[in-house]
This record gives sequence, C-alpha cells and structure tokens, in this order.
Amino acid sequence: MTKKTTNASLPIFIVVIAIVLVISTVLIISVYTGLSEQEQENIDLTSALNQAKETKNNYEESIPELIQEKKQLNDNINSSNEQLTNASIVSEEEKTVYENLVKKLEENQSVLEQLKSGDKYNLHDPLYDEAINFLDDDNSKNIQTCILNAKNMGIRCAFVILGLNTSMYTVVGFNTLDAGMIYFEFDTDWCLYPEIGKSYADCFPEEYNVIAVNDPIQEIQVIW
Amino acid sequence: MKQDKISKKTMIIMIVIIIFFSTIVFYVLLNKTNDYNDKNKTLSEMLSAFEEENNVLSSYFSNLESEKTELQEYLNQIENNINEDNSEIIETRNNINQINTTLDTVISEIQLREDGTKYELHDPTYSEVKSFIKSDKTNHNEIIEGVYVCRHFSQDVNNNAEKKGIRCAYVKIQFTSSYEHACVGFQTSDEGMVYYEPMYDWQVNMEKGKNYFSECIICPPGYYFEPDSRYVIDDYILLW
Repeated sequence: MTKKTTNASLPIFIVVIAIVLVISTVLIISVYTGLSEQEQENIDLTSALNQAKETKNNYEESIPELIQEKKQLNDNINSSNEQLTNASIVSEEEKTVYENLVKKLEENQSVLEQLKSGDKYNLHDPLYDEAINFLDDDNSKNIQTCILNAKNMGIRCAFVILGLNTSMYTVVGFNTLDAGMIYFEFDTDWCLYPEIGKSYADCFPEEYNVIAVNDPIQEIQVIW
Repeated sequence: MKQDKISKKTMIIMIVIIIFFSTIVFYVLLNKTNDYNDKNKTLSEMLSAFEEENNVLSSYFSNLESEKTELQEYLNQIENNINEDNSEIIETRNNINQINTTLDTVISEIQLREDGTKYELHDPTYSEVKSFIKSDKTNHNEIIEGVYVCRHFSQDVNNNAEKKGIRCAYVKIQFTSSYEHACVGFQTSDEGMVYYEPMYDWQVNMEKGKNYFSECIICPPGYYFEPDSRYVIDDYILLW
C-alpha cells in the first residue's frame, strides 16, 4: 500500500487560518462587547442601587426626625392651645373687669354731674379747678354779671369788698372744697391772697408784678 | 519548493488549536457575560424593590412634610392669636389702670362734694320777706362810722337770708353825689322785686332820680328823713 501524503499550499493555509482567526476574533469581540455593556450596566445598576440605598437611608433617617418634629409640633400646639385658652379666659375676664369699671365710672360720673349741676336756686361750693375753669370761660364785663353767671351754673360765688383806708376793691370769692377760700379779680382772672394789713398789690403773686400802693387792707367783706 | 507546502494534517491541527483557544476564550467571555447578566438582573430587581420602597417612603415623607407644614402654620396661627390676646390683655389692663385712676379721682371728688354744703335757695313770698326781715336782728347792730356801716348791715342780712334758704340780693346804690349806699333786695314770687333798708328794716321803693332816704324809704308813722341832695339815686346794681 502506498502511503499518500496530502499537501496543501501555504497561501491556502494562511487564508484558512486567517479566516478562522477573523471569525474567532469577530465572535470574541462580539461577546466582549456584550460583556462590556453588561459590565457598564452592572456599574450603573450598582451605582443606582447605592443611590437608592442612600436615598432610603436618608428617608429612614429623616422620617423619624420628621415624626419627632411633628410630635413636638403637636405638643407645642397642645401647649399653645392651652395658653390660648388661658389667654382668652384672662382677656375675657379683664374685659369684664374693664366693662364693669366703665359702667361704674359712668354711674359715678352721672352722680358727679348731678352734684356739679345746679342753678341760682341750687348752689354748691366749687372745687378750685371748677372755679378756675369758670373764670377762664366767663367773659363778663362787670362783676355782678360774673357772679350771676356763676350762680346760674350752681357755683356759689361771693361779692367781696376789700376795704382800704381811702378806697375799696371789689373781687369775687369762692369757698372751694379743696383749697378753701380763694379770691380773683373778675376782669383779669388773677388770683389774689388778701390779708388785713397788706396792700392790695401785695396780695398778688410776685409774677403778676402789680405795683404796690401803700394803702393796707382794713377789712375783707364776703357777701354771698 | 518544499517550503511552500504544508501538510494538511498540520493545517488542521493549527486550525483546531486556534478554534480551541478561540472557543475557550469565547466561552469564558460568554460565561462572564451571563454572570453579569444574572447579577444585573438581580440588581435590577433589587433596584426596582428599592425604588418602589423609596417611592412609598417619599410619599410618606411628603405627607409628613405637608402635615408638618400644616401643623407649623396652625401653631403660628395659635401663637398669633395668643399674641393678639396678650396685646389685648395689656391694652385692657392699661385701660383698667387709667379708668381706675379716673374713677378714684371721680369718687374722691364725689366724696368731697357730698361732704360740702348744699345751698338750696328760693325766691320768697312778700310775707316771707317781711317775716324774715322782722326775725333778723341785724338792724339791732350799732352803726359805727367807718367800721360797721350800711354795707355791713346789707352783708349780714344777705348772708343770713342765704342761711335760711332765701335768695337775697346785695344792692349797691350809687348816688348822684360821690356817696354810695347799700341795701338788700328780694325777688318775691307774688309782689315782684322788693327792697329793704337793713339798718332800719324799712322797705324801700327804689327809683332812680329820687332821694333815697327822704323819698324811697317807706318810714313807719312818726319817722322821716330830711331831704338831702347827696342821696339822689343815680344808679343801683343788684348782686345776687
């Protein structure tokens, strides 16, 4: 038997090898590409998962805090509601006190007005301020009108004669409830403090700067 | 030319070797790819689970946030109400203090006025005047020139009348001379204005231009005044 040796040419061999290599390489590259994509996806997924875990952790940390804050808020609300209720009660109580006081003041003012009111048949001795206010408002041209006006308002007012050695002055007087007897010039509304032995001018406070005449007061005549 | 030839066998062996190694590499890569595939699938499932969980948590978180905001707003509203109430309380207390001060003033003024004397006067009847003048003893006082004269008599009668509740006027008379005189007057409810000379308790028919003493004073029988030109009435004023 003749042993036959089969030979092929080198170029054919190279071509075949090349084809095999190309096919293998293509397949390997194809698989490798898929692998790379999977790897990338794995990285992305891992990253996303970590992020999701982190998010979950954040939620898990934040939610109890929020619940705690909410609880704290509820506690504050309860406490504030209690404060509000108390404040409302106090406010209402104070308002009631105020309203009662207003009512009491109105009643007393009414009594006071009654006591202050009067006419020429119902007279009262005034307070110092009442006398001052009357004189401030009164613009009488003569003393009798001034006295009449006072009495028409229920204010007891005296015609006062200050007798000097050679003459006399007439002023008005009020026996005030709070400051005793006070005297005024009806036309100037100046207050004076007459005393036996003093000159008329010396009876005025210094700031009025009245020039003194050496004619002392001999008597003070108060005619109601 | 022997070099250009390669045995078929060698060629096949080489191809087999290449295919073998390629196959190994291919399978290694494929296994790895499958591993990754499995892992990725697991990761995807886990991720989905996490995302789903996170969605639930996110929703819960949002609800809590929203509730917290509402509670905070409610709390703010309550605190505003408390502040308003407190401001009202402070204002009311200030008002109470003010009103208390005013009330104290008013009450003390009432007390002062209630303690004070009330003077209830009336215009008398003519007979009441006559009766009063008769009962009043001022005319018994002694005339002391320069010390106790007509104006003092008039003052005393006037003030005594007030004490009895009778409205009386101090009448200041100016004569046509430089002399002056004083008497008293009453606005009677039945006879109109009547005047009295307080030094003698005699009634006076006051008339300007007439002589006061000799013509105006109504003297009782047996009494009279000599006419004196110094006492002609020029004017007279009533001080009520």
